[in-house]
Amino acid sequence: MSNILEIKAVNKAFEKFSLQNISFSLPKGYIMGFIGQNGAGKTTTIKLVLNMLTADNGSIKVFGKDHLLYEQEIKERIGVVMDYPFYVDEWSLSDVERSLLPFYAKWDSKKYNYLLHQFSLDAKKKVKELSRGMKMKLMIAVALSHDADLLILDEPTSGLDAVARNELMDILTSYMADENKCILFSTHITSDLEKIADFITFIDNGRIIYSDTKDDLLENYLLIKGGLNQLNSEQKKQIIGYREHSVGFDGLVEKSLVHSLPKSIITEPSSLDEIVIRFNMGGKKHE
Amino acid sequence: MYLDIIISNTAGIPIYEQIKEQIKAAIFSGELIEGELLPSIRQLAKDLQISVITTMRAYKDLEQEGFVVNVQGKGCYVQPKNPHLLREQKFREVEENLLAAINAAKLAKLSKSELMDMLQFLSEEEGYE
Amino acid sequence: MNKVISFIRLDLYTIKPYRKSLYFYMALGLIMAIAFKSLSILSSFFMVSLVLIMAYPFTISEKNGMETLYSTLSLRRKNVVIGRYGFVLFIETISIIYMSVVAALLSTFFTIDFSMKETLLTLSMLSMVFSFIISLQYPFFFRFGYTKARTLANIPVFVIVLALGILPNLMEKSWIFQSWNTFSQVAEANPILLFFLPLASGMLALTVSCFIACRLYGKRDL
Repeated sequence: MSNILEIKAVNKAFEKFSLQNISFSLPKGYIMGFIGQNGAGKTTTIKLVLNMLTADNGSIKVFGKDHLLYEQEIKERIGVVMDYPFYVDEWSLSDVERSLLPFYAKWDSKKYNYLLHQFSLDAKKKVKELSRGMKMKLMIAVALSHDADLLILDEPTSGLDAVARNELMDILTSYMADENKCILFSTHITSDLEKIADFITFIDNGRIIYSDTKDDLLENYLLIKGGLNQLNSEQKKQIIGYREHSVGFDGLVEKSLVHSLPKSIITEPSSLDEIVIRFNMGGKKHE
Repeated sequence: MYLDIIISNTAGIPIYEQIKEQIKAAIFSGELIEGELLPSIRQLAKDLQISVITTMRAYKDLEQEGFVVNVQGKGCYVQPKNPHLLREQKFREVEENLLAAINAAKLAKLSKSELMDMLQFLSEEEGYE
Repeated sequence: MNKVISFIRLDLYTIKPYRKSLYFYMALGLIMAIAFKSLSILSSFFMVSLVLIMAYPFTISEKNGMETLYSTLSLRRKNVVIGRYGFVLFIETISIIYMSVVAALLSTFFTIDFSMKETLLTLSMLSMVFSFIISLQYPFFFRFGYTKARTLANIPVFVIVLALGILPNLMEKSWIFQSWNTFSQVAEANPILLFFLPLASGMLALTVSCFIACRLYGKRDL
């Protein structure tokens, strides 16, 4: 089994929003960044994987097994980090361990205390006394203490400063030194993923716009800038997030189209952020 | 042997290319010797703070081009310097540089014969027969 | 089974930080009972404490987003429900034992009128009332979450209190009176039966309620 997570043709309809035909896979040993603006469906997808929501149809497999039939087995091997700690805020960090320990066959108490020490977390402190960054590290400590093979992170860095975010990146890259581990990292702060993500799944308005390697995504889309009259209307239609202003225009295009554009148009590599922004602005959509 | 790999995120050259070039340069200059083990794919990714797929791609290309060999379970080892490859590599470099010269000449509105003259002149200066 | 026990333990840990208010009520009850030389006051405080505890796991877990926690642990949804009901049973059992012991001790040291038999029977009846209330409330909590279900869930309490109020009037109806008479005669002869019968009906109600709650919670979008 080489795919740790496999989502196929999943649909989930709500009143004002729906996930449509969501499919993507995460192979073992890689980090997948799950990007898209707020409300695009990232958290909903993660909730479906965790069985907090039931899909209308489609299949979700984790570690090669159906996520409902083998729910308990699967959850022993998953570590989850969200943007808020879902523990009793009055618990001490030792209480957290004592409460969760019976649910994990592989819980390693030494490791938990070691990690608390490494993250400068005092076991006697209460969860509510921790700063935002420390709360995130607490969740990581819990996730790493039962030898989870898949880490699912949903907006773990929102509200954190650059230093704390960088610390998280260090922790995650160390975790990935083991080629049997996997990370699904959902965030709207794409700069975190820019460096370390292997795969990117881009979701917009409930639909998967792109799901493949990050390198390909960044190589396939270029930012272009030029003068107001350099493009005809046909060409303008090919541009994603076309923006015209008083002294020119800019936008995003697929690399394959660049050669058909006037040579004087400036092209430059795009960032993940820019891609999300441009797709959100409209214009020609991928697939 | 120290192996330095320094990548630039803003150079415009894909990162896997930069890694490849630097490793090749290290092999050519003798900093990496035959049989030496390259850093593991994951360790390299962690050190350079880039994705594993990028380092994988660089190593895979290097293997395809004959510079390293990947031993399952152990890692990538430097292959003996292949004079053929070296020459091929240098051929490519000459080609690239000539193309760059031609493009620059076009922009500067130099004619082909003017360019050839330049080449002649410089070769004499450099003692290139 | 293992998971259910682990969950009961989790619920206990969940209410652990709030045990102080519990101790307060219990201490207050003790003081009042001693002051008024009445064990029935103790029973009232017992009831109040139970009401508080029974809602705690829901309020605390909702406040802290623990539905997410439960979803990340290797638990099926039905383990969560059964575990919560298990928690109820556990607390009820401990409370009955605790109250009987306290009643016995109080009467010894403070010379209050006391009969173990009566105390146990009273506790058994109270337990049954509680089990009925929980049986009616919990499915609402599991289906809608505590905050949304709060008002709805209090209706059963009203109904039961009302029923208890009307009971004496109903009793005057002859056929009910007669069957009650026969029942009491049988019961008098078998005090043990009298003790276990309410407990058993409470358990039955809880079991049925548990099945329903499992289905409701199983389908709920979290």
